[in-house]
Parts: sequence; C-alpha cells; structure tokens
Amino acid sequence: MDVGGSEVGGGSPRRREQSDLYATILEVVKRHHGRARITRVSYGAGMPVDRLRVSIDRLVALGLLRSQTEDGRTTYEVTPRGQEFLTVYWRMRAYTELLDPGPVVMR
Amino acid sequence: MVDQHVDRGARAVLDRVDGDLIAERDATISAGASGRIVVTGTVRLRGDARIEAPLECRAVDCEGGRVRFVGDLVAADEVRAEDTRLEVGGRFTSRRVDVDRSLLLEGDASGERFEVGGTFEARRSVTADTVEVGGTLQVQGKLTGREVSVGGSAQLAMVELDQLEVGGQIELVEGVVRRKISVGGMFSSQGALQFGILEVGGIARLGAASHGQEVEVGGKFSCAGDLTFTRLEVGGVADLGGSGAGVDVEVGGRIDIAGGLTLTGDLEVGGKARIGGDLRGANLELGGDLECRSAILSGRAEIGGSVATVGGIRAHRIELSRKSEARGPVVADEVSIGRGARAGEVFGLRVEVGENATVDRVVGESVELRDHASVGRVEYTRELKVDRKAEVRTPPTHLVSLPTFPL
Repeated sequence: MDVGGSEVGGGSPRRREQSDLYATILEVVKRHHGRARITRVSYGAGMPVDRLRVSIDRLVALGLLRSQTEDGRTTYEVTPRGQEFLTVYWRMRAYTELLDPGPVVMR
Repeated sequence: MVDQHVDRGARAVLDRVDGDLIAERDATISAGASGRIVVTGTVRLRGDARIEAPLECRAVDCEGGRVRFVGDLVAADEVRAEDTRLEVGGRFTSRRVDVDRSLLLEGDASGERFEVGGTFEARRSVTADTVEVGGTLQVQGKLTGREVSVGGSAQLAMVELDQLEVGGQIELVEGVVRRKISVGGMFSSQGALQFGILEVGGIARLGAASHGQEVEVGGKFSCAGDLTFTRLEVGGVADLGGSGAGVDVEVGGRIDIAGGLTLTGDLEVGGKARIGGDLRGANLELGGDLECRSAILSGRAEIGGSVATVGGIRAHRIELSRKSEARGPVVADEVSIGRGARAGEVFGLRVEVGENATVDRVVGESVELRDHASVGRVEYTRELKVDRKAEVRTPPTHLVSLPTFPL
C-alpha cells in the first residue's frame, strides 16, 4: 500500500517523498498494536524486508518507532512522537491539497 | 488417530482423516465418494497446494507458497498462514485467521478474528468480531463486525461496524459505523452513512443523507447533500451540497453551503461563509465575509469582513469590524458599526456608528455617531449622541416609539 504518491492533486503525480514512505510504515506498524514484526510490516507496506529495515532503523533512531525483543523476536510500536508525526503529516497533506487543488482521485 | 501424509507433487483422494493431514509442496487433494474431506486434526500444508473439495478440519497451518481451497473451508479453531497467498473459492469459516501475506475469499466468510499482514480481498460478505489488515482491505459484500483496522487503504461496499480505523485512505459505499471512523489520510463515502464520530486527518467526502455526531477533518470536508451532526470541525475548507443541521460548526478556512444552516450552537469561521439559504444559530464569529439569504442568531455576531444578505441579519449583538460592508438590514439589540465600515439600514436598541463609517439609515432607541461618521437618516426614541465631526445628512427624527424591525 502507498499512502503517498499521486492519489491527491490530480494532474501530474506527486513525487513520493521520504515522509510518505515513513508515514506508510508508521501506519502499518500502528495497526499491529505493539506487536509488529518486520515481515508483517513488509507485507503491509509493500516493501522488501532489506529496504524496510533501513527505514525502520531510521524511524527508531528518530524516536518515531520503538523496538522491543520478546522470545527472540523483534517487534515495533509507534511512539507518541511517531503518532504526532502522522497527525502533522496528514494535516500537511491536506493543506498541500488546499493550496494546489486538483481533482481528488481515490483508488 | 493416524496422520495422513501426501508426498511432494502427489495427488491424493481422501474422505476422512482421523488425525492431521500433512501435505508437502505441490500436493493436490480431492475428495472421494463423499464429495467432501473431513480432517479431525490440523491440515498442514508445506508449500503450494490445491484442495479440490470442501474441507472441514480443526485447524489449517500453511508454511508458504500459494494455497487454494477450491470449495468451502471450515476450520473450527484457526487458520495460520506464514508467507502464504491463501485463496478460498467457497464459503469460509474459522474462529481465528492469521495470514502473513494475502488472503482471497471468494465466498461468504465468518469468524471471530481476521489478521492479515498484506492484502485481504473478500468478494462476498465478511462477518467478524475484529479485522486487522496491515496493507489493503477490499470487501465487495457486506462487512459486519465490531472493529476493523487497516494500515493502508480500504475499499468497502456496505458496512455495519462499531469502529473503523484506516491509516491511509478509504472508499466505502454506505452503512453504519456506530462509534468512530478514524482515518489518517482520505475518506470517501458514496451513499448514506450513519456514524458516531468521523475523524479524518486529510480529506473527507461524505455521500448525501449522511448523519453523524462529530465530524473532525484536518483539511477539506465535503458532503454531497444534507448533513446532520452535533459538531463539525474542519481545519481548511468545508462544502455542503445540501443543508446542514447541528449544534456547532468550526471551520478554519472557508465554508460553502448550498442550502441553509441551522445550528443550536455557534458558527466560527476563519475565512468566508457562503450559505445559499438561511443561517440560524446562537453565536457567529467570522473572520471574513458572510453571504446568506438571512441570518438570525440568538447571541453575538462578530464579522471581520462584509455581510451580504437579502433578508437581513439579526442577533442580540452585532459587531461589524472596521472597513467592512453590510448589504441588507442589520438588526440587533446592540449594533456596533466599525471604523470606516459601510452599511445600509441598521436597526437596534443601542446603535454605535464608528469613526468614518457610513450608514444610509439608523433606527434605534439610543444612537451614537462617532467623529466623521456619516449617516443619511437617523430615527431614534430615547437619545441621539453625535460627535462634533459626525454628519447626519437629513434632520434626525425623534420617534415616540420604535417601528417594527425587519426579521
């Protein structure tokens, strides 16, 4: 799945930013209520595990995700700072749409 | 109890297994004379497999690949599929479902809990207590349940849920979400939707004849027809294709309503409000312009921009800010016309016309005109106070009693 990309704004597709990718990952992790394993997140985000791992490490370093190890398995959960990122991200996406209104295409 | 093994690439014909059924990769299993397969234990599939008859078992455990059940699948306890694309062609029932990669259900499905990491596609109805999907959820039939949570996007037809949470975007046709719809990105519904709370970070579009309690949208909100609500809060722009009825409305940017707006509480708009019909409510706080057929408010109206009405605006207190313009009658117990503002007819018990303001006609109990104010005609009953540099263009009329005010 892709929460960024060209769905909004019509016309020319919006280039997918790093922030879109991070939002995608955070939204998928959020669904797993602190039990998100990297393979599950990779299926949800539609990203290969090796590429995902780089982004997840960055999100952990930024304090947007928290990792924990249980029974030898690493799981991830969204931190309050990560939730704040998502709120601001979606709000900014909407304001971008207001400033540059095109037909909204929802797929 | 004797477990049954099916070798790699082998084809087996089975009616009943009293124990587990273990099939290696590329196995094909069909039913014998009974036309169905019953396994009292677990069906363990160790790679690609095809089950060509309806199957009943205690549990299914898939270890990868593509697994297709051509007919019905009833797994009393659970279905677990790791790194598997699981497909069921017929009716599907299981208490717990946990699929890593993708799940395709072509018949009606029911269970307590569905958990899918990637994609969950159901071509008919789904009934479940909870559905959790990391990626994409698509249900073509009716989705009935308590809680549905999707990380990415969802496409749903009819829903009957308690709670719906989507990270990315969702399109749904119609239905009921009794408690809360929470969407990070974009929400769109085509038909009538009944909901408790609708909370959307980005953009929300509601179909006509929708009804809810609270609507909170970060960016842009639109509704194709009439909408009833208790609270409507929009960060950016709000558009209603019909009329609105509720308690409070708060819009950061602009609001555009084709019909009327009836509130029992307040309307607060940062920018412009354009209402095709009548506005009714308690208090109005507007940063920009107001356009409506008429406005009747029981409390205060503070307007930063201009007011254009056909029938007029009435409130307990009306404040027109500096340099604003009022077209249509302005009626209130207390009216304050800001510095440099322009108005047509103003009716009030106490009317104050600010410096450099211009008004065609003032009718009031007590009227006060500040320096450089210019009024065409003044009719008053109790007191007229004119600052030294103010102007009344025709001699003021002292009335015995006030005429009936418009509105």
